[in-house]
Amino acid sequence: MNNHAAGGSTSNGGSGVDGDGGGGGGAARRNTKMPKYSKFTQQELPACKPILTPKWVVSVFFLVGVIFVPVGVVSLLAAQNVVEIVDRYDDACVPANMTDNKLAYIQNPNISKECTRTLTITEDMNQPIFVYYQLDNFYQNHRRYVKSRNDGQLRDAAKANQTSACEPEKTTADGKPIVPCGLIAWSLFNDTYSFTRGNENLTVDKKDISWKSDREHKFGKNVYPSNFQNGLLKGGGTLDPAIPLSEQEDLIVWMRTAALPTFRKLYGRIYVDLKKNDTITVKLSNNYNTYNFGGKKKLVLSTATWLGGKNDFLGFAYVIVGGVCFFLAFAFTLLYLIKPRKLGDHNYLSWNRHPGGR
Amino acid sequence: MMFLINQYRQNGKIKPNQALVVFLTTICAYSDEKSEIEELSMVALSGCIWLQAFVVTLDTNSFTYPQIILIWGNFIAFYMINLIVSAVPTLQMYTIMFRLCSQPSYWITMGLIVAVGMGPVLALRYFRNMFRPNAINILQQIEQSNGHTHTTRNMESRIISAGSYLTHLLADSRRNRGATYQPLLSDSVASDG
Repeated sequence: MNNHAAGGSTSNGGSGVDGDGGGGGGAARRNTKMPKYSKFTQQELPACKPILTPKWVVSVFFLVGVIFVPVGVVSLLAAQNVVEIVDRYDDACVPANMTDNKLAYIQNPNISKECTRTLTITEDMNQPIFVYYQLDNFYQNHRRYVKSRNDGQLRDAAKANQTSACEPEKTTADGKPIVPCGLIAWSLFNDTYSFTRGNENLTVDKKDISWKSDREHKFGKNVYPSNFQNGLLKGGGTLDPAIPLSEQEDLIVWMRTAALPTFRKLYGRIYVDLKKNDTITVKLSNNYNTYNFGGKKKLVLSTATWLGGKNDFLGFAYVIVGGVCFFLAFAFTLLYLIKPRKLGDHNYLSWNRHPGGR
Repeated sequence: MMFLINQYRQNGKIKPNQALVVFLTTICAYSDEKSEIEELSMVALSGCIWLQAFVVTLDTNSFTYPQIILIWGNFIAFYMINLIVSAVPTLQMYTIMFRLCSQPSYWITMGLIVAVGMGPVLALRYFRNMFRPNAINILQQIEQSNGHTHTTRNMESRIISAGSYLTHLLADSRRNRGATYQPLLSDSVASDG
């Protein structure tokens, strides 16, 4: 855009010459009404008045292309470097004789929920390796669900009776307050996983899987679970009443509600390098009921880069947008060379146009 | 979250297709499934703030320092306010903005939203100014060319005639002020709306 400072060249402050010289009350009254002069009130501030010119528009598009294509390529490479192993197990872990009645299987406490899965590592994975559980078709963003909690209660033991907004999991049948209350805590995910490679047990480090700020400020050190999962209906995992909420990291992770119906949450970290073609045996406890709402459960092992997980969208989008901008720059240049238009040609003003066309 | 974007669009300068760009880009960029609600909402809101700054910049015809301060001051104030809110432990927003600002993917997403939201607008605006200019565009271009100090004898006559048209137009608007006075910018508003 063509930049030019066009300061006001004329001043309207000369109205004094219209006054009567030495005029009495009239002149004085008129003088007191005159606003003080300033560049702001007289609209004489120096101004930049840019217009879209071919060279500026072409330059902007070209510059965007120059920036976007390399950023896109770098992002794609970062996403490609992530190694991710995904294993869906909710269907595979149902005993063969109960595949037609999965609900009965998951609700029967007498049936063992132990399950063994085998994973093959497809690429070398450098530690730290993140272990996630993934749920599909689980709407943690549902309004009544996401509101069903009381942060004051979670933070302060003195507010154990503060269960407002926690319906329908506020109190037990005999009126005692549930700590932690609310649907989010009640539906705590409770599958567990352990990993071996050959004869070697792979330790899953479950420390620091939650946000430090959550542990220090949102979940109290002196708040202990009480009356939790004591009702007829159990929605998920139980909590050790001897451990304060600030150390119940699985609960803290679960209560960071996900924005989308398909989500992953951090289960732990493995600080051992895994090699290509390694075989990992997973012993898991298939406790969580996703069968009555058509959900899916997956176990994910993943590495990470500066860009996060394995998501190609940003890289591809950047490369495509950069390419489109290059194309536009080229097209506008061609247009300018082939069919130039003079800027500010007053022949294009409507009253100068010939009738019936330009 | 779509309600949030829609609400913001109604109050600001963002067009429906740009709101869609913000929404889809946010969902796709953060679909690695580990985002939580406040994070995703704040990414979308940031996208709206960024787009607003650029849209207003493109729509502004004359920049004096109040314009510059208000446009980019709004932008800076957004981040300052959110960083302050993110420092309050009792709020849901606690540490959210600090986390987002420390993620490269957040800034890459913002750049993408601005490019996809503004690119078509800039291209269409340029095309219209070049090939179907209205009187305002032409007068702006004339004013710019008059501002150049170097002139040739051949240009002088054109400048004089352009000046006479300007005088004619201004005289017309001044003469009609008492009757059916219309601000010059109404053309721009009508054609750009």
